[in-house]
Amino acid sequence: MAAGWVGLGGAMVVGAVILACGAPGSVPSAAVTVADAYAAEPLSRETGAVYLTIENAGSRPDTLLGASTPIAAMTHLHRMAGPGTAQMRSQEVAEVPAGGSLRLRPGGLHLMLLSLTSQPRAGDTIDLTLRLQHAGTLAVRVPVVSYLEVGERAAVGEPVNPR
Amino acid sequence: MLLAAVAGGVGCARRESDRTEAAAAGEAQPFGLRGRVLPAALPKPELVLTDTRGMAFDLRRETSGYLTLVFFGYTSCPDVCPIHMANLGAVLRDLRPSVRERIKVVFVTTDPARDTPERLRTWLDNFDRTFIGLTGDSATINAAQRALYLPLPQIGPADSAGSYEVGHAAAVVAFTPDDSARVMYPFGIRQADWANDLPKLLEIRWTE
Repeated sequence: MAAGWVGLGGAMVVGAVILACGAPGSVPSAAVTVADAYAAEPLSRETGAVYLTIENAGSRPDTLLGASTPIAAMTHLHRMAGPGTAQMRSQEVAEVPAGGSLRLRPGGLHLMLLSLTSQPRAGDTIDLTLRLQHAGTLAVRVPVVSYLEVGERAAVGEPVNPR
Repeated sequence: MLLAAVAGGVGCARRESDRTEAAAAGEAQPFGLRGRVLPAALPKPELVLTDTRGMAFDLRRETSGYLTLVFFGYTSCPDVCPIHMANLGAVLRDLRPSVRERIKVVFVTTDPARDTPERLRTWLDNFDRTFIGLTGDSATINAAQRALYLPLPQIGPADSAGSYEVGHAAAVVAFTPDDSARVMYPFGIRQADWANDLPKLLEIRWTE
């Protein structure tokens, strides 16, 4: 089924991904699942940012190797470094600990979309494919939200810049 | 007005203090402020840069007597900068005009190589058409940040498309109408925190 949606038009891709995933943002009966995915409404075609949580119910760690989306030429993982600064470091991969989770969130580790081919608006949904070392590829539907909503979400949970 | 804001915010404040670093720090703050009150006031730095009309802008002269919210960031920033600006834009829209007109927001780029006046204007207009955008030479911009004890910006490595990110201080600096920096607002501050603090920052009589 995953192979089926590759050649489909943009409008069809969304429906196909729902079938592949079972429910938006999750993969049934798999050790590794994705939750709370959202993207900030891009202000230009230069960059976008995606946040999500990868949960690993399994007993061995997994590694997020990369991601792709039809709306961006490239994606990079970035992390903020140092308390009180928004200094970002590019990093290639990130571990999803066994029995734990990897959280991408504003002000922390996030997935940058670079050189956008379209500029989605709040309310739209973008398709994202995550590539993990053991779990393989996970298709995720990512709702696009305004920066106001990103800001509200950013303030929830453990403090930002924990280190 | 102030009393109503304080009373109305108590329930939220407790919850937020459990959930945000900023608000947690704010619990022990004087005047019920949610931002971080500085141990000592800092003077408004001497800073003359170029605004989005391409005109010279003297920070001290143009913002004297206003509650002035200064942020150092850049328009290619993925989350910290647009979140701060979006929050401020939304909160300022909801303020009474008599309060709103006493506040100025100044966005100083830490990426002058890319952030032209035109680009700053386009980006700031996403949030509020009155937000002031400043650019200029890095040495001048860095000197102002040094004067405020902010970490200096760091240009990240360019990717294969030539795009790069810029590390910068994540806090908004609030200068009260006496032209002194009194409070910093770290990343993680929420609209409710701004709505709580902005009217207070106009009214508080600081003793030193």
